[in-house]
Amino acid sequence: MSDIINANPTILNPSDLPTRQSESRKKQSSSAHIADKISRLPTSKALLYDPFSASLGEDSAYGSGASDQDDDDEDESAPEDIDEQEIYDLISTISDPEHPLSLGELAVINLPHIHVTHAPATPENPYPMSHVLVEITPTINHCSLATVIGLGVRVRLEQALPPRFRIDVRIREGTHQSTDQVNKQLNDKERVAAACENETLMGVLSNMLATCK
Amino acid sequence: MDPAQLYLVAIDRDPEEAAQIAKATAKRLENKELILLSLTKSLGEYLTNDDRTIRAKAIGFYATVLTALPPTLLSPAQVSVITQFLCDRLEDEAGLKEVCHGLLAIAGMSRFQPEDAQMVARSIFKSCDLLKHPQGSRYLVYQVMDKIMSDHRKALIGMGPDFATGFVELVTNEKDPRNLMIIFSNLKVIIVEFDIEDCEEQVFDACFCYFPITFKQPPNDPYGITAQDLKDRLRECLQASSKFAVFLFPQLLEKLDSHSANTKKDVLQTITGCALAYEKSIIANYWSTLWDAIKYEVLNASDEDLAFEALDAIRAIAKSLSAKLNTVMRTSSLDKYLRAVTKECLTQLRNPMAKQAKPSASILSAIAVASPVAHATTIQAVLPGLSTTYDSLEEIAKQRSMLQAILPLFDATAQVYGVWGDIEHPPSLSNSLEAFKDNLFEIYSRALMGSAKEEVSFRLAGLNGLTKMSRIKNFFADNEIGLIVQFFDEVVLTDEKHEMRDAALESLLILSRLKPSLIMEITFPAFMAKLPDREENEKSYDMTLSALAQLSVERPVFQVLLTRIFNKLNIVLKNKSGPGYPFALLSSILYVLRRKHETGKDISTHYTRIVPELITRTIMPLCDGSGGNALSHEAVLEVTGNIVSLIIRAMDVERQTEVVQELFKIFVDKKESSMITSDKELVVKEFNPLEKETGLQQASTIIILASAVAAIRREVSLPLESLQQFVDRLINLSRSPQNPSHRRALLRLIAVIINKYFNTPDDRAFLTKLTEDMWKSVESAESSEAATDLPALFWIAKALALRNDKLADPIVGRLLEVLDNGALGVTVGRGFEVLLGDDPLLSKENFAVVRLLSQQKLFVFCVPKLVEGFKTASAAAKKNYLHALSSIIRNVPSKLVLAEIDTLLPLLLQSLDLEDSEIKTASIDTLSVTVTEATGLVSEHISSLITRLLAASTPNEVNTVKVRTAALRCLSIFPSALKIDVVIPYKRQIMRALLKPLDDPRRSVRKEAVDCRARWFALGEPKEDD
Repeated sequence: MSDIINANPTILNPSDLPTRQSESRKKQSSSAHIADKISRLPTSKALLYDPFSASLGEDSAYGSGASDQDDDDEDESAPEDIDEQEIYDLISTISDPEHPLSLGELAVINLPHIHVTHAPATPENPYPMSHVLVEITPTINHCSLATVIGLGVRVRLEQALPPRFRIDVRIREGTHQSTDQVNKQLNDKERVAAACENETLMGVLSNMLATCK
Repeated sequence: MDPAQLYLVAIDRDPEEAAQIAKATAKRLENKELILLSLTKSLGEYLTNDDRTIRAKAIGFYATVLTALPPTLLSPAQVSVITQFLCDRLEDEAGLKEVCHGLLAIAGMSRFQPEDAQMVARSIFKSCDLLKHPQGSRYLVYQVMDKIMSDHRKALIGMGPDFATGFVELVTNEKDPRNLMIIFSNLKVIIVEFDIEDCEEQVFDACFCYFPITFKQPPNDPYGITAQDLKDRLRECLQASSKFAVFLFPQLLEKLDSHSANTKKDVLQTITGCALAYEKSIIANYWSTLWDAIKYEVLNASDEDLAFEALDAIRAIAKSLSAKLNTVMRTSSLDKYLRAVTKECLTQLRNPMAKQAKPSASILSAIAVASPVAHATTIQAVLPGLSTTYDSLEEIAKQRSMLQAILPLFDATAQVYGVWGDIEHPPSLSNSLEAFKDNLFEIYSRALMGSAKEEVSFRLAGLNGLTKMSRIKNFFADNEIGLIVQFFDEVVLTDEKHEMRDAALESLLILSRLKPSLIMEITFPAFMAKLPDREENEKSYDMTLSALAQLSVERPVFQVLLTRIFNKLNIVLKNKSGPGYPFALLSSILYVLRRKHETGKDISTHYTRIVPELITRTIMPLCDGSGGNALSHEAVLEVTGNIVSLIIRAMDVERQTEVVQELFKIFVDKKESSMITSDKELVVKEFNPLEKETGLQQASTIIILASAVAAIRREVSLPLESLQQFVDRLINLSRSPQNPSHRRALLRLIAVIINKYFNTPDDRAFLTKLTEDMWKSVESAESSEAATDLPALFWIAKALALRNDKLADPIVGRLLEVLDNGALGVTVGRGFEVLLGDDPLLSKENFAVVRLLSQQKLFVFCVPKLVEGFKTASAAAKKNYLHALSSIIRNVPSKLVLAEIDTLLPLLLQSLDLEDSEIKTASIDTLSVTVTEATGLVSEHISSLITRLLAASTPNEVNTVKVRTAALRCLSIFPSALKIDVVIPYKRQIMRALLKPLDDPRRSVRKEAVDCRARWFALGEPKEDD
């Protein structure tokens, strides 16, 4: 405990962290859940479901607009691109190596500092290259753990993103005294590979990643 | 031979006999046949024997004789002589145990004098070197000490400091937990009652050397002494004298630096205990050192438990210093302490977003609950500073943190001054928070009502503050709370953030318990007014109805709700609403009824207000030529049925008999029924739900009849001349239903009646004949549409199988046989869902006959036949078997499936190749359970399983999001469930294959893929904690 680098960092309230606005009501509280139970008309499919008739019943009585709000039926066809929020969700739950707090709570990872760019898909190349840039903000500008944190982010993304993504992890400009040095380390393939061979370091990393949800 | 010799001969051979000899000797003494002196003398030769065991046994004899003597027999002189004799024997190390037995016996004599007690104590101190003896012997010595300390404490106190020092020396180095329990309780007595002024430190050390207790209770411990028992007793010793403070606190604080959480916890709990037990003047000397050390445990806490203990200690110090104080006094030690604490916390709170701000706020609330004076001092010290800081904060995030930091102080105030409805008298000191009431009201109201809508957590802080302050007894006036209730109403009704609406409703529920009238007067009308008069497209009513329903569980409120909802229903129906809104209105009534029922309230009393009303409103529009309304929509009828069923179920036999008669008058007998509240004759004339020619709407109301009959107790007979004819009639109707849900309602009604009422041999014969005939028609059918009796057969089988009736077997058996039938197989395969699925009408709560294990029996009956049939079935029909299997598996507990998993696994694997999403999901779900429960079997099939699951994770028509999610989830169980050498060979394959789902078009699937991949990635890595 003696060598804590920043003992009293600023922390964000978990409820203030950016989250995806849930389009459906699945993640809601009991009260909304009750509201749902009270007002959600069962779908005609559920009501008239009958294992004995080959085709479902005529839908004559169900013309009204109220019955078609069925968001359990996910629209299978609509693709959802990997976006900044998704990247944020992947890495903001990584634990800080010295506090029992997440990188999101410590504002080391911030949604506006994540950038995803997709090349347009073409018929010849339906899965074009994509690029993700994550800029991390150390809690103080001499934080010697910045490299470890950056490495953690990098390892997590490499595990969790499809191979067509190019990953770029950097220290945000002006937030650390040796930005260039750290950036070089984080984006040098061989150095990263070498770091991943180091067992002590991997032990620290796997502890940090253990909290990813 | 003299008795001593006899005893010595007997003792090894037969202890029982030896005991008898001693008893006889005692009797002889009692009868004066033997003189004590000669008995003592007769021991002489044995007591000088070189063999230590003989010496011990001789004293053992003597002790046993003494124990058997009546306590009043011996004279004071005799007691003294014997005591002296026994004390002398203490010098002989052999026989300590036996001597102690003797001492215990003699100390129990009624003529045992104080001087004798002193003699015993002195001799024990002088002669006993307990280190040389086993714990059992030591235990006896302590028992002797315990005995004389409880019987002759005054005499021992009279010995002066000699006793305390002697005792301390005696017990030095004792380690046995059972002995320590006695020693600690004796030490406590010594500390409290004896003069230990000259040897305080010595006595203290005798206690503190055991701190912290690290004892772990061994398994099968015969004494049942836990570490906690020892800790408690030791703490009582340490707490027993304020004079220990000088030794205790420095040493405790030193141990607070320990790395062991257990030690730290012990230290903090001891500080808490001592702070509360020691004199105030003592704590006044130490609060500063204590505070300096303890605060670290809160501010830099890594362990919440410890922070909690530390807060307890901080509070205890304030409590101790509060003693005898009735007003805030500048010069008091409490004032100094609180000033130091609040100053430090205020400094931390200047940056309310720093990590140590929240712990500082907890500290403030901890000291504020210590006493009314501590509360006043804290509030007066911090609130002005906090308000100033608050005003200077510019970022909303910081303001929010500040508002949140103050919240615990409101809870503290509620703890000191009570909440509304508490009967305890509030403290005489007036509530210091009142001085800040207006300011706080304004700050928190502004946060809730006057800030940007996106600032959810800021507004939540405002809302929480208002709620917490509203709870405090006699703090806000009713009109102020009324205003707050209005704020909350507005949030519930109009806020676009659901977190806000939920929290506001939660607060209203809290206030509804403390200030029910305000909710009735303010919230209710506001919410009611918000309900629209017609169905609107976006759901403008659902949250309002949900809120109303939750607030309406109390009876008077519910009555109001009923009136308003029925009125609203009228208006809504008049405006030609679709089914959605009426459905919601009725569902809210159903919700309240269910809640009331769950909380043990009698809901049958609501019959008159609800049931006739609903039934009339439903049926009348179907008779008066108006063409019906939304109430006869299937979904609404289902809710109406549920309401009727719930209320009838709660009635006794007598009332049910009445109700069921009135009900049958409407639906079956075509007579005037009291259940119709308006034009009874019109209903008699126009309402024909059970006629073939009737329209869909009237026919659909059968669901109400089915729900009502389902709730009838079996003792109540249905008002029918012939049940068999009625069932016949229903089956006839089911052959040409108006739509599938009409048929389902009819079949459920049939199943309910058969399950509850068809018991006589005649009924059984009827059923056999009926099903025979039905089979004939099914078998002659050329298509599944023509097999109109097939659905009824499933439902009849279900009704019978539920009560473990043998009649079910032939029906189910034949159903299994037709799975191979080209025309009917597909439909039959799907029908098995009916057979095993739960139906809420056919439940125990509804008085249906549901036997234990009925599901299991059916499962055991079906599965072997299915597996057999599958093997020989044509390629086209195999699917039907898998379909049936899937329906069965989905509806029985996985325990049952696991019992048969050996035979089922091959089928499950094949079902993964089917082009049916539902079956696939069900199979994968079953496999997921299998992976953890039947590891051996899964390990055998692991290769084909993994291939199929990976295939199922690729998106296509069949592999819906559900299938893909289930497949990935199942795969992610493998690494932790199976042996590492079984799974590790697949790690590379899976890590590579999972790259594809990482790019799945759907986000939720990608999430599963990421998690799954992380699990497999961690496989084979060294565990973090080892």
